[in-house]
Amino acid sequence: MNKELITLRHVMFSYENDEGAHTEAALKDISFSVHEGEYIAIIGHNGSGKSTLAKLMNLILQPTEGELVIDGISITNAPLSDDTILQVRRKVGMVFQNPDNQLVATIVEEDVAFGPENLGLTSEEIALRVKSSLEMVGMTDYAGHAPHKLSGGQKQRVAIAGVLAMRPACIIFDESTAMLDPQGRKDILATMKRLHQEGMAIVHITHHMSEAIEAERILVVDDGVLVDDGTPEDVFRSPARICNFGLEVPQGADLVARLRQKGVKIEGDCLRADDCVREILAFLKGGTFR
Amino acid sequence: MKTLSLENVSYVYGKGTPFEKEALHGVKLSLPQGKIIGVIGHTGSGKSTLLEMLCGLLPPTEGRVLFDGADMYLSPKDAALEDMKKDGYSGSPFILSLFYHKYWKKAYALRLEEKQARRFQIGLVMQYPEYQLFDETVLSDICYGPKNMGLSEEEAQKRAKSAAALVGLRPELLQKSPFDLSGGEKRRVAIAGVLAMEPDVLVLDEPAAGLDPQGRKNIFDAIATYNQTTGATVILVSHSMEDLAKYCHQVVLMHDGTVVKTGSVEEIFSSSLNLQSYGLDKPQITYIAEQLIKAGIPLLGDLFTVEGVEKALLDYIKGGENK
Repeated sequence: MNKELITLRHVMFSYENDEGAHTEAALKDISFSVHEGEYIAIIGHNGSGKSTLAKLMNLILQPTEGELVIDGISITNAPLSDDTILQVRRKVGMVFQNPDNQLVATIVEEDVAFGPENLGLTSEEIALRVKSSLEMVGMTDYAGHAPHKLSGGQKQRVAIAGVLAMRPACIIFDESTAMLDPQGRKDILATMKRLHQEGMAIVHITHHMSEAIEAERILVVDDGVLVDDGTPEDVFRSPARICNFGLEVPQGADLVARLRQKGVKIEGDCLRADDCVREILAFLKGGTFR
Repeated sequence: MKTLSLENVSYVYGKGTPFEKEALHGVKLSLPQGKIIGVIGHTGSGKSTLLEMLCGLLPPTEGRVLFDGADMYLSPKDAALEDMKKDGYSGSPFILSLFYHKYWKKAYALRLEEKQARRFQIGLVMQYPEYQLFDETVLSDICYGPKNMGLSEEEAQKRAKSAAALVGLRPELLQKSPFDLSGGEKRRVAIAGVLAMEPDVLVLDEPAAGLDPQGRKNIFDAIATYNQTTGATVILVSHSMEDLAKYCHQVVLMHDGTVVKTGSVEEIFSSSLNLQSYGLDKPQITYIAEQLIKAGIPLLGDLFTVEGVEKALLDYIKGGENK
């Protein structure tokens, strides 16, 4: 296992209401680690605390109780210096749901350059980073375009390039595919996969189970509690349990689970469509049912 | 119940400016009454422009939008001239102009009345409608629409309560502030606000975007129930092919401002149509079923929902046992 990049130790978080009193905890006693180069998906129903978790990992919020360690820096509820916050944000980038909220310039190139420019780098270094970041997300051809004329998926990729230009070790995607059409969604997933292969740690928060199974590891959050942490196969083993959390299993796995209930003995996990086809064929051609 | 149709409709944004862009081109569409109609298409294919036009918010640059047989965007001028023709006025422009004003005034008043009535006959749920919530309690927020229709307080509350029940909001939430609810609950309040006006046509732009699977199911179930109990026509845009396959009676496929195909779920998701070339996809379950058929397993029936494919496979297995 690689080095720990982000570690949460018994983290508790509650928002403050208008009177400054703490409301019910949004996160209760959460402990886990994100390792270097790991690809994690976080799933949970609306209001389960997923986004709060993402905001903690990017230091938009600080834990109310417990400890958060990011790249060796310990963070508790004590006030932090601006330097520390910047240092952490440079390590952990974030891509939001709506790309329009994240694009600032009128030309793609300039938008990607916005982050590095603020780091006080030389212009050669900035140009280099912009070029390589756009290459990584496959948007080099659009460097001179206006962001608002791009499709949703393309805008989102420009937003990712902007984060990449900061050279983070981890990128958090907070429902970054929710507003996109099927093609845009595919593009972003492919980009995530590519970044992961290049050694970037990915944390993907999503409501689409078919996207979550692309990760190496899935965390399930339910009402502020981390209720499951394992491989996609482990997490989706019991459809009934997943439904209890307000979630669902991918259609292929759902089909196989239903068939099993009717006494059809199909083996395997069948999370991905192709696995599902293979296992059903293996069963049917095996002739055991005839 | 009222029918909606489009006749050769085009729309150009920023006409006459350097940023001119054609969003719709020669769209012909007739929306069957009482059905749930899904609209699919990639980002920028013209879906939202189409919806706005159907709701009476965007007059087409060309063509006509007919609601209940009447042109929705007929100008008072054209209406007045038509009425004059009907009454037998003809002849020189001078003769016409003597009576035109009277006709125009009448036509204008009528158009205005129709327009106002239409606001309640066609209900629009915009994208992320939870941002429109504003009132102190959930109940009064849902009552806002019905009250604007001129209904009494009791009648408005009655409608609000039944709409809230329809979308699955627990009665104890009605007295809470809408801002204290979860995302899925807020969305349901916003939709209930439109349902409470009991529109003949319900138009929804991505009603389930950003919701968790359970929340998505709740919303779609509520829409389907509204359609069944009232017979209202429902038009909805969604990027979730799985949900559309499960709930829609008909699907309209849009691409680059034109309607490529209108048909049943089966016709749209069948293998003959290459959805990927339109930036779209099939439901995963349909992909699985098609792969099985390719491998020589003859599956019949509804191959667009998990339940359908389950039944098809069980039928096939049983058929094998009986041999």
